[in-house]
Amino acid sequence: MWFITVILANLRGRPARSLLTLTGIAIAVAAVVSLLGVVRGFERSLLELYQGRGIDLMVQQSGRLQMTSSVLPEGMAGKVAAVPGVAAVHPALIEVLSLLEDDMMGVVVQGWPPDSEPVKRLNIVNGAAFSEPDARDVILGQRLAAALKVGPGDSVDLIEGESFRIVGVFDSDNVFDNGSMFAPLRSLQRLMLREGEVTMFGVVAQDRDPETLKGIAEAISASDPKLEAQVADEMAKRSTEIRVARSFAWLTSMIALAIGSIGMLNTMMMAVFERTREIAMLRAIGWKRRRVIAMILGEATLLSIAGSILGIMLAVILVRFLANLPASGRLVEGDVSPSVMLQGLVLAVLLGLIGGLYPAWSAAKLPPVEGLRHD
Amino acid sequence: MTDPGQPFDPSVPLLEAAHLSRHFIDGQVTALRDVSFKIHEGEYAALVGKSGSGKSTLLNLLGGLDSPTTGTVSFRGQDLAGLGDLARFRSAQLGFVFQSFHLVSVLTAEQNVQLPMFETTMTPAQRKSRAREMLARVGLSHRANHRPQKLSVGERQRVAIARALANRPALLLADEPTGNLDSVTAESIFALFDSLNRDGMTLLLVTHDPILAARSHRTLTLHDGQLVSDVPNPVHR
Repeated sequence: MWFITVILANLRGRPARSLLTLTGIAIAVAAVVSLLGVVRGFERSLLELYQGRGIDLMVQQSGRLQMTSSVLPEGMAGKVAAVPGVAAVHPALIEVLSLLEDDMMGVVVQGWPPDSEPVKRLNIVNGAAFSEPDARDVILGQRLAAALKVGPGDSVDLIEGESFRIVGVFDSDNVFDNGSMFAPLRSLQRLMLREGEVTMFGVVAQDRDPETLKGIAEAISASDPKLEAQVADEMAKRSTEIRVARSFAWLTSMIALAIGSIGMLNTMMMAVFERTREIAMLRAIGWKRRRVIAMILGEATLLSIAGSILGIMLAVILVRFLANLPASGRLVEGDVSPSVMLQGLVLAVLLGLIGGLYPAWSAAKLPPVEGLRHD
Repeated sequence: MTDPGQPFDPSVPLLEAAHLSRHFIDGQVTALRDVSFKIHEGEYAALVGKSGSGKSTLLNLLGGLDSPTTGTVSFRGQDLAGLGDLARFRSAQLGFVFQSFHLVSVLTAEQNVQLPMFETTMTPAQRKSRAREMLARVGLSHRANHRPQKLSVGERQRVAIARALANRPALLLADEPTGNLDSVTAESIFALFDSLNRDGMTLLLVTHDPILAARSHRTLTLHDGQLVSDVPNPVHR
């Protein structure tokens, strides 16, 4: 018999308790893995968002943490274009609107000139691109179109009574893009009463070497105190939304883990209490304290590993489910990365060890004489 | 320091209690008072006395499960207080048999017998083979794969004795080993102890049972925590 046989027999011998603890851990791990998985998906999407549009640098109003709060005069495009190494400058107005008629909150509307790089790169799968620079046209991401149940030829009210014609539907691997819509810059500016204003400039560089890009960003930032340029992927990493989402995910995960840990603590304390005489007997026949600790921690760890595997499976199902829901599907990728799964597994094992440590210690320090008298 | 596992020296007692006292609750309760005796290799002794006379307290001190307030317990001349690792001493030198058997309910008879062997360097295969051997010694080969719930009380006590023998101890300590058994089953356990002693095992049994005490070679009687008599049994005089 191997030592692990004793541990497994102890778990199998108390099936109801083992199963309940395992379920508690599985739920905690499922919460952690799915929340972190969703946030990682956001992060990855945001990174790909800029790279996929052929934009190397983002220029926004300096000192603004949130991109949507940045306001710049469109006329500053010339100043940015004059910086050495800049190949093209594309102004953009980014608005977050709520389509009240369709009960859809937080839809990103991106206003770009029809001849800009991001619009030219759109993979239009149905319909066509904008007809004119100031047409009241929009192109919808496939997920948004599906959620709104519309297609080319239909119209959508961006603001109550302000109808825009849907001319095309595009597909993108990126969930953000796929859940957003594109409009001609001019018409969006007019609609939002922000003529001559933009949120940012997307800059295409002549050379994409990371060091060169960094140099260009510094030169743009130095050219005017109102301007702050960042390499696109840095921008994604520093996004306030991502940081808030990440903090929220961790906070929620920690609460879930704490609850899971307390569940484990309770189970293992009960297991030790119930087996006081057995543990005392094991000490009496010569088991060392560390072997008793290894047995209790082994039980906690095995429960955690089994619980985390179940939790990861639950998380994968949950994230896929969220990705297919009309309300959240625009923002959630259907996959959980292996690194997030691994994080869930490591956290669960830690949770098991934390929850099992005190019971194991109290079992080991129990004097055999007292334990043998225990009823 | 003398190794308690050193080879047999007939001039040194296997176990020696010297002026043992044990007080509880800050000295207000005296469970044992100045108890001294020796047990030699191959002896078969019974410790008798009424409930509360201090028998179990004495057994706990002799087995290194508790420490005396004053006095010493020596094993092969080595004071137990000087042994850092009493768990190792218990594992290597002692076999414990309890009144309530204390078998692990989720393990089979054979697995229960293997439990003490985890503190040795034996491989899983060696543990299994030894457990089979010990179960054969107590006449339970055919019950090796049964859990305690499926065994009779007599069989359970035999499994507990096989477990106590697992590491080939020098001394078997038994606390009321027949206390939970009917007379017929108890007789089979007496016979097993007789047989173990004939094979050279040293035994010290705590018992209420006058029949079991009479079958031993020597009876030590405790009264109110004091050793009031230590006599050889008539048949062995």
